[in-house]
Amino acid sequence: MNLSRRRFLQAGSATLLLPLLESDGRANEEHASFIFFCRQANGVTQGDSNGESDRFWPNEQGILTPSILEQQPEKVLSELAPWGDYLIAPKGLRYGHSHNGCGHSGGGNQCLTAARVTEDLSGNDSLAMGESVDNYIARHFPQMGGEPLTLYTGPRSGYLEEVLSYRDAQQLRAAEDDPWIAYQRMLGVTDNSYSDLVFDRRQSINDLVLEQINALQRNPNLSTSDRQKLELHFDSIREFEILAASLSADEEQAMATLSGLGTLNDNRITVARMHMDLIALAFSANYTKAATLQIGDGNDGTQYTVNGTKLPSFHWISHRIYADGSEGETIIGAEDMHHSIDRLFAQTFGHFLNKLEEYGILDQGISVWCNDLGNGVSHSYNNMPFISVGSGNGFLRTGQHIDFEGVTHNQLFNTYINAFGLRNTDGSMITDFGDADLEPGVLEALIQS
Amino acid sequence: MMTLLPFLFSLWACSNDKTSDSEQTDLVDTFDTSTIEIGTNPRIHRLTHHQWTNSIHSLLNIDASEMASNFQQATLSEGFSNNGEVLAIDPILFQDYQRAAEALARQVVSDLNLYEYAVPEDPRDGGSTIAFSQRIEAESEDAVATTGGISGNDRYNLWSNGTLSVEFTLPNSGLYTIRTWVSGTTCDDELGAEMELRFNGEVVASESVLDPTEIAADVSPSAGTHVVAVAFTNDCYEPDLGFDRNLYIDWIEMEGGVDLGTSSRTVSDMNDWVERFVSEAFRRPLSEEEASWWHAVFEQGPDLLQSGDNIADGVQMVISTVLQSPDFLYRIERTDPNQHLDPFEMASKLSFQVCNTPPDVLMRNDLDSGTFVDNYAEHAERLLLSECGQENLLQLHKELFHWDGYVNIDQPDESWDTELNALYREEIERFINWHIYTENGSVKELYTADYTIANDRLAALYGVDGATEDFTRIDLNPDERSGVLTLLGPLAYKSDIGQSSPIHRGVFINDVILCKSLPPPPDVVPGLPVQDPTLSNRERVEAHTGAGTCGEGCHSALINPPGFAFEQYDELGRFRTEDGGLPIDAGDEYYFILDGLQSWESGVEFTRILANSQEAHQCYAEHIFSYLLGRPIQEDDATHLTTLYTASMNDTSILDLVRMTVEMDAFRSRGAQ
Repeated sequence: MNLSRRRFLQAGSATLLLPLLESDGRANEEHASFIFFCRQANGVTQGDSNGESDRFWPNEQGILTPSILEQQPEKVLSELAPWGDYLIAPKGLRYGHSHNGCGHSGGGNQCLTAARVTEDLSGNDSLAMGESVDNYIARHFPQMGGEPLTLYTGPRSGYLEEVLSYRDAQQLRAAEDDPWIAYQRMLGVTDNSYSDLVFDRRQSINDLVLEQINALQRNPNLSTSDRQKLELHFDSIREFEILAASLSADEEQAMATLSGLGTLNDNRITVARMHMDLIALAFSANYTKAATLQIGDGNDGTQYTVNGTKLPSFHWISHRIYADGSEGETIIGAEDMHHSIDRLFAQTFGHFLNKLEEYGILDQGISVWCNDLGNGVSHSYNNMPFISVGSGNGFLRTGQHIDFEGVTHNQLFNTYINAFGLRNTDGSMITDFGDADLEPGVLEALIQS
Repeated sequence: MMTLLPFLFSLWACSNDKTSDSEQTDLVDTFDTSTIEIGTNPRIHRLTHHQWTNSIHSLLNIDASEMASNFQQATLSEGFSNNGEVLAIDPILFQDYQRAAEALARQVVSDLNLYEYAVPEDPRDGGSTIAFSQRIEAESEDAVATTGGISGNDRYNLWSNGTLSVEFTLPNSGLYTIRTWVSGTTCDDELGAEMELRFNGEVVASESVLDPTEIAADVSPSAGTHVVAVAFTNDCYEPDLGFDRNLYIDWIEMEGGVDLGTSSRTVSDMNDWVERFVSEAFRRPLSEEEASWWHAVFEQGPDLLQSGDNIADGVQMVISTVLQSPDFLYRIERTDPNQHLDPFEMASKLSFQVCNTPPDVLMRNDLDSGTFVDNYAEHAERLLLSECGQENLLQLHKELFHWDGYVNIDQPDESWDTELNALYREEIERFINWHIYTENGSVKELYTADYTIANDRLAALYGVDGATEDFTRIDLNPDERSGVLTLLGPLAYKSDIGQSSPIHRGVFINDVILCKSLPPPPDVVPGLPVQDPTLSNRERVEAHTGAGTCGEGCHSALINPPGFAFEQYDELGRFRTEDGGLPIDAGDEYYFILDGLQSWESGVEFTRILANSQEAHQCYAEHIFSYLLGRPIQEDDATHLTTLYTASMNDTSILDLVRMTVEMDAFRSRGAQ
């Protein structure tokens, strides 16, 4: 009998499997193979009604490259310079509807749905009146389970928590805030009983089954069709093994240690990175087509630590005052703080991009860093920052900064949807995601000719 | 679906000598595999979920049907749901099987009764069915809440959205039940308090509660500490209106686990069980090498489970592995080419293909004594007439007539409601079963029967008086009805909203009754124009798809004529003589490849043409053959299909067609591959 893979890994290096992931053939896929939305709250420092200037977007429209971005270190997007060739910075996108009493809730609800918000439920209770794009894409691939991965890191205060992913109108998807539980669920364990013992048992049984399949495959009388069936069975087990064996024992231990503590303020970015590791792993193992990660609750009040300094509540910073409302003592240097938090998010997003590169799948999907608001002080829904990396296997024309001058963001989502090869029954592009009142269409300038 | 009509036509022309049924059977018995071709049957045939469920029940005495209902469902592009060519195990289904195998294995060692059934070789002393039971009062210090407060003396009030959590430390893994006693108050929306019962963060039950009630769920945890929480999720507070929705919790309890007692067996004592169990699961004997391999699997159990009960750990390890093994999940044919199947493979094929079950104890006894092949026909007959055999033939017809889809019928007619959909389905199920098993009917009679099995509501739609509330056999007007194609359900299912659908009905006749492959419709199909009161439905369809239109190629000659034949039946399947005040014209003509041009004036005339049509009999023979062999038909099947449909043309009963099929070498042997 074979030594179980787990034991083998423990004896050697946990990264031994990575080349397998890179050679799994996914690069030959014709369409985008995954989409990820990482959501930041409270807008970005791109200039505001109080006279602040833009510190976010590239200086000029047109081509983006690593060197162009490196030459603008004062801008947040310079943090993503290593991925400049894969970057799309589409300015001028706006949300199509107003909120119903709460800008954060209204923004979060529209962010991935492009739907209006409820009329009867208002304020922080308001909900989106449509499905979100992650759900839409995932459910069109039932062979991969049909469900997006919905993750969250933020407090459980009961005020305004998950806002992002919707099954349908007013059907908010619950997000998992514990990476350890999310990981176990990916491995098919639902009772929090995952342990090395469970892992070892599964690996041993997988090895036993693979051995039996191998023996069957040696039968010279098998038809091509029978061989293909056994190969699919074999590959299915191997794929699962990749999923189960790709996190090192240290990474698992770190997740297990943080389990139950993920909602604490000081763990926000650590947990976000763990979630990102899981999402990258999920994409590499074909576990799902779509994933979302909401960092911070609806009006993220996290006190982020930047360069060793613990800042005031991010929500307060975005208002530039020590208050959640419109009146309060001014926070000196709030704009700089906000800018540093934007950079922290860009760096965190970069952590995810690094993971995708490790798996060799960066350009096969679309990774999006988005926001509930355009900017914090005015709570504007204009110039919504949907920064994406990856062409979706060649569908998107990357390496460009372009201003769409007020187009509603549903057209961006239509573009993403078509990147997955989804089309209307007559073969035409899908143009009608989101609220029916919005102008349908795709963003032709983002599509590779 | 592939059709063999072109080359069968030449075979039919050469074999126009209509032999008797007994002569047909003789022909099969003397079949020579070296001279007559046999199509290629899959060697690796994944069990359908139904077959998997029956196999689990046979092996472990556990009803796993609910588990299987959550498995990934097959998406078949061709053939029947038991098509072994395409049934496979992909990553999703692999994980479904893995979870199921682990849960079932755990279930066996967590239930003394199940253990005794699956492992009689290990009688236990001192076992009990419940090992752990603990109730925690919600107002006690052991309960932790995120909001709310103690209400009265003995319950906790979650007055805002939040949770009340408790911890249980379980002595062993196993099956447990968690319960809570809760009540709620309402708000101005008059809704109850929405609560969730969560186990380690996972929602395992949810309910809207007002009156005090018990909410329970079963879980399968490992030993150790686990968190059970009750969550309140729809808080509402309207003090001005006097409303305050709260959730009250009295207690949370957890009970279960198992104490298997003590075993007097050693690990090596269990070799007999391992061999017996694996052999039964694989439906074949094990080689010595395999037996040793599985002994070693058992021996891994104590190391990999570490429950302290080495024998139970070995049992769990073997069961979990067996249920993920290809020899369990697939029906495998290892027999060399051009040979009759090995008796064990033959028994599995007969049992699964006729009954969806693994070989039963009678078959296994004959296999052990070496008499199975001699008694093959006897077993086939027993299975065919058994309840599972009847269900299997119903399944074949359900897939042909799509009656699972009847639930979607929706008509703006005062005589229609959703209950009628269920009655439609029950009628055709009962009719098919009665026709095959009570009447011992033939294919010809399937299309000409002048009766149905209906209750009073359905009878009224047929215009028949005197029927009862219960389903009984009732005679139908032979001038209006003729066999299965003029039953209410098939006609209603192939209808548009508020009107019959000649196009859907015509496609169905071509596709299912005549096995005629139609080219796919164009990508953009313009809908039918709105009903013009000066035109009949037929005239509207003709104007849209008939001669001179872009749809002429398929519609004029192939789809519309058989569709128009059923214009005497409206969208509920009722007989009619007028369509919106205009006379019905059901007459048309159709070119049958084997029978030439045929014309008719009514639906009844058309179905009688079908009943005598070589093409319809050949098509039905293809369905039976394909379903029982679990694969699409192939060119090498021509000889066998000719045998079948010749018998069918000679009024051989459907049951005899099935008997003939399972006796054929195409069923019992491997072909050249």
